[in-house]
This record gives sequence, C-alpha cells and structure tokens, in this order.
Amino acid sequence: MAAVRIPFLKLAWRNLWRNKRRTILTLGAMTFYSWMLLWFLWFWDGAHDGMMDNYVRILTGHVQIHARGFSDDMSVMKRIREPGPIVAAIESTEKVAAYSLRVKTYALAAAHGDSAGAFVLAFDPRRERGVSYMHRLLREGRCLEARNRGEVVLGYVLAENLGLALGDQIALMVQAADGSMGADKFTVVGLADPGISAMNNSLIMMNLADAQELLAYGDAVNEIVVMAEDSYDVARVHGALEEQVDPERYEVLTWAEAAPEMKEMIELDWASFLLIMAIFTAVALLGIMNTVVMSVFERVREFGIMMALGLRPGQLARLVVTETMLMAFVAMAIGFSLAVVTTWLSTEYGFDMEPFGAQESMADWGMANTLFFAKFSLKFFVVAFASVLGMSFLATLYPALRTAAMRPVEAIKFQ
Amino acid sequence: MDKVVEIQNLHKVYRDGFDVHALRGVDLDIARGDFMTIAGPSGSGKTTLLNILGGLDRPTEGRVFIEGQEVTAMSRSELADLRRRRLGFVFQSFNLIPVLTARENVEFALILRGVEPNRRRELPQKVLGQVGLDECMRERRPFDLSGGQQQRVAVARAIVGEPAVVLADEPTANLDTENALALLDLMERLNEERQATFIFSTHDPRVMERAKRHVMLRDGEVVSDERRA
Ligand SMILES: Nc1ncnc2c1ncn2[C@@H]1O[C@H](COP(=O)(O)OP(=O)(O)OP(=O)(O)O)[C@@H](O)[C@H]1O
Ligand SMILES: [Mg+2]
Repeated sequence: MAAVRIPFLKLAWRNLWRNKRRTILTLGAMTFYSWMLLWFLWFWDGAHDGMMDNYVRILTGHVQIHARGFSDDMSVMKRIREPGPIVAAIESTEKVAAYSLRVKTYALAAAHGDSAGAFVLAFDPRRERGVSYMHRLLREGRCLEARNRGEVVLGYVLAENLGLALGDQIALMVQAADGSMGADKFTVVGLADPGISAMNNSLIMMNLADAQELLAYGDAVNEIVVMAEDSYDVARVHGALEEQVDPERYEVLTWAEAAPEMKEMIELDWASFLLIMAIFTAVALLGIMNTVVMSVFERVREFGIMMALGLRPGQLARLVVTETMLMAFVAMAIGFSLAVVTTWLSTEYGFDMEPFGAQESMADWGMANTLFFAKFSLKFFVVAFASVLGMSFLATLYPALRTAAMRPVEAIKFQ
Repeated sequence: MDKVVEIQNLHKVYRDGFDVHALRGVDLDIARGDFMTIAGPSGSGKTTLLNILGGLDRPTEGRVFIEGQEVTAMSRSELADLRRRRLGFVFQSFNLIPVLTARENVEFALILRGVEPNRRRELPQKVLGQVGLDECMRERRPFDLSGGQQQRVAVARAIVGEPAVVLADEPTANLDTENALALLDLMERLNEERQATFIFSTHDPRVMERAKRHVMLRDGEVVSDERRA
C-alpha cells in the first residue's frame, strides 16, 4: 500500500473557484494587504534612513571618536593628540565607507565692527566629502579647497548678520590649546545653507590645517567621524572601533548616542506606524476570517460526506487551512510584485510626503526635505512574508478548528 | 457463521429538550456477504441504527463490533480510519464531492485507502463500468449528472475499496422506479460477484422484496427478522 496522500492542494484550488466572486474579493483584499504592508515597510525604512542620513551627514556621522569628555563641553583641551593609530584602526575595520578628521570649536567672529558667536567646523575637504554633505550645502561662491589656506565658507545667515559678501575678510578669535587666544583673518569664498536654522547663523567651515594652527593644535584633532557602508552596519563598526581604541582616553559614540533625540523620533515614528499596521492587519484578519467562516458553513454537509469517507478531523482542518494559505501565496506573489514595482519607483523618484504634513514635522528638525526614498531590504521582506502568513493562518484557525470539531451525523444531516 | 457486524443491546436516547428513545435494545448479527434491508415506519430508528454502525454517531448504551473490532470504543480518529478502510457509505442524495469528477470521486476513496497510483487509475474506470456509468459521463462533475447517475457513482465509490460492509440509508428514496430498480440490480450483482455485505434502510416495498434478509424496526425495536431462500 502506498502512503495516503490526500490531494489537499487540488481540492483547495478547486474549492476556491466554486465561489469566484468571493475568492476574487478575498484575494484582492489579501493582495492589497501584502502590497501595502511590504511597500510601506520598505518605504518607512527608507524614509527613516533618509532622515537619519540627512541628519547624520550634516551633523554627526555614523560613529564619532573624541577624547573622553569632549562631547560634554567641547573644550579645546580635550583633543586627540595622535590621530595616527586611530586612523590605522579605522582603516582596518570592515564595513567602513569613509572617515574624516575634524576640529570643532566655538569662536567669536567679527567684521565691519559687528561680532557674532560662531561654530567652527574644520576638515580636509577631500576626506569630508565621504562623510558629510557640507560640499552640497553651498549657495554661493565655491567650496573649500585643500590646497588653499586662509579661506572660509560661512552659513549665509551669519554672513548677512555680519554684512559679509564673497571676497570679504572675517576675523576669528578662539581659545587655543596652549591657553593663549588664537586670532586670524580669513577670506570668505562661499556661503552655505545647511538647512538647520541653528547652523545657518553660526557655521564657519575651514581647512583642517588652518584650524590646527589657530588652536595651536599641531597635528591634533578633536573629532574623527566615521561612516559605515549601510545604516545596518553602524552597530558593527561602532563595536569594532570601541574594541580598538583606549577607552580611558577616547569615547566612541554612535549617531544615536550623539543625537539621541533623532533616534527617539524615529522610534516613535516606527511605533505609530506599527500601530497603524496592527489595525490594518486586524481588519484584514477579521475580513478574511469572515469569508472563511462563510465558505465553511456552506459546506457542512460536504464535510460530513468527507468524514464518512474517512477523513480525520485534522485532515478537514488542514483542507480549510490549505484553501486560505493558497490564497495567501497567490496574494503575496501579486502583492509583493506590486510592492517591488512601487518601491522601485519610490527609490528612483522618491515620494513626496508633503501632502501628508511632513513639511511641518521635518521643519521641527530643521530639515526642509519632504522627498523620501524607499529602500529594499531582505529584513522587511521577511517581516511582510511572516505577517501575511501569520495573519492568514490566524484568520483560518477558528473556522478550521470548528470544522475539525464537527460531528459527522450532524454534518451529514445538514442541508 | 462469519459475522461481519455484531450489535449488542443497542440503545440511543436523543436528549434535546425532552428524551427521544430512538433505539431500545437492538441485537443483531450480520453475516459476511449478506444483503440486508432494514425497514420500518418513519421515526422507527433506521437512520439512527445505520449511523451508529458506521461510527458516525455513538450509542447511549450497547456495543457494536465490525470484524471483531469494537466500534463503540473507538476514538474519533480511529473511527475515521475504520470508515476509510472497512466501510462504504451511500446516502439518500448529494453523496459526491462537488469539486471532483465522477471518476475522481471514486478515485478519492482509493487515495484514502492508500492504494498505489497504477491501480488507482484503472480501478475507478472498471467499477464505473460495472455500475453502468457511460464513459463520457465519467469526467463530469456531480452537478452535471442526474440523480440516478450520482447514486451509481456513490455506489461505485462505496464498493471500490472492497469494504467489509456497505451501509446505505435509503439509497433509492430520491430515484424514480426505473432508476431505483436499476440501482438495486446493481447492488445485488455486486453483492453476488464481490461478496460485499450490504445493509440498507428503506421504505420501499420493491427494495424489501429483493433482500436476502429483512429486518423490521418499530419504535426502536426489532419486530421481525426474516430470511428468504
Ligand atoms: N438529532 C436528533 N435529535 C433528536 N431526536 C432525533 C435526532 N435524530 C433522530 N431523532 C429522533 O429519533 C427517532 C428515530 O429517528 P431516525 O431518523 O433514526 O428514524 P428513521 O427510521 O430513519 O426515520 P425516516 O424513515 O423518517 O428516515 C425519531 O423519533 C427522530 O425524531
Ligand atoms: Mg432515516
């Protein structure tokens, strides 16, 4: 005797086409659910990545290394005197995309008899391009060039406040590391719009060597910014770097530690997204359960006949589950394909969230950008796959158990 | 006598609202190869008895054995296995699985018995031939068959796996005389050729006449048990 192989799939497939209208409606709902779920997951992930990227690329990088305590008070005394070994460690770490050595300090800026507080950000322009968007923020003039000395690019509001135009001179005063006051004059070569209001009126960018001289730093820097290849790799890069530097002397921070408020915002946004998805899932689940219950109820007599033929209660339940799962797989095939297309479109062209009130909430973060881009990832594909399967299974569980619990006599008597 | 079915002191009380004593102590032995009818007025307990024999329902008291196995002591799954391996059913109407063709309905019984694929393909054709279903009808679904044709397919499905007993509850009730007699001829022939044991209930005097053994029920009790030569 061969093994008993009940053709569940064949039966399920044919059963589905008995009530075409209902099956197509259910399938449509499941397809819509699969599509929206996966697309939204990919889109939300991409949008958050974009937000984070914007933020990180302007301010924090993925990982920052400082002398211990620097992030608390930005004291010029807390510097990395010998960046060499740390740079060597960074270069030997996997998943690092780029890094940049920086000097950051507060300064007093003066021109035409006016003065203003300023924030100096100094770097090697060739390296900085890999980690930040500074070079993209230019409104007027040109970017810093590594081979020139004595040049600055100003936040455009700061320039307005001090009445400065391209080619003008600006005087800067800082506290130097040797306890003296450092002061020098610089030529304005460009005006930048960082898009974050606090920076528009204070940012001064200059070459690393100029700042090192101004602060009497020698070869020291006070920040090293590292970008990982992908946002998913940040934790890994952070961990690897933390192991390699002396924890007594240096602190290694992720962007989330350097800017916890951004991380919190993204988490909050995920939470509200998940809540909406949970409601969406519950609605889909109840709708599908309803149609499965109806389809089972119509076939009570038939199930009775099957029991008389010797199908076990569990096998009947399996038939009911198979029918729904079959629909789930067809729905996923179509819905996920649609999601791939719409996600691809929204990775290529972006999706403007402005009509959904993104403008206001992004402005709170000093970001004007409302155009977001989706991001493909296996992770969220798996999440969507598991959600659709899980939802369909839960929707069919109750009717399936009810079917298994039917008593044969009553089922057969049922007309 | 080679007993296929043994029924001992069977009682069935339906309890919904008030008690209905549908079977009141039925004792019967049924021999292999028998062709037995159970008759009696409406409400006398025929359906109740057949359902309990087939393990579709449980008695309130008493025991049933099929080929020595105690049906009344089996679990739901064991009952399903017993029905699958040793029993065939024919009900009054709508016996077939609507999404399967006539041939597939018969084949389904073989699949459930774990018959190997080769035999599974030949046997249904052979048996459908025996029950007189034209070849051109065999790939039709039940909806496209007449009531008589459906019943013949149901009989084919019931006997194809060579069960110990075929239980039929008023199999001819929904058929006209011609079709009813044809179905009876068929069952009689199968009974002779295959030594299949048939037990069926009926109101129909034409059916009673044909039985080798004839049991009468009234108010849940056996009132007569006759054997014809
Ligand atoms: N599920 C049930 N609940 C309550 N009473 C029932 C149930 N099934 C049957 N009965 C009662 O049990 C008695 C026997 O019914 P049964 O169906 O076995 O009779 P029958 O001989 O098959 O009748 P018929 O010739 O009308 O088919 C009847 O009085 C009937 O009303
Ligand atoms: Mg009856």
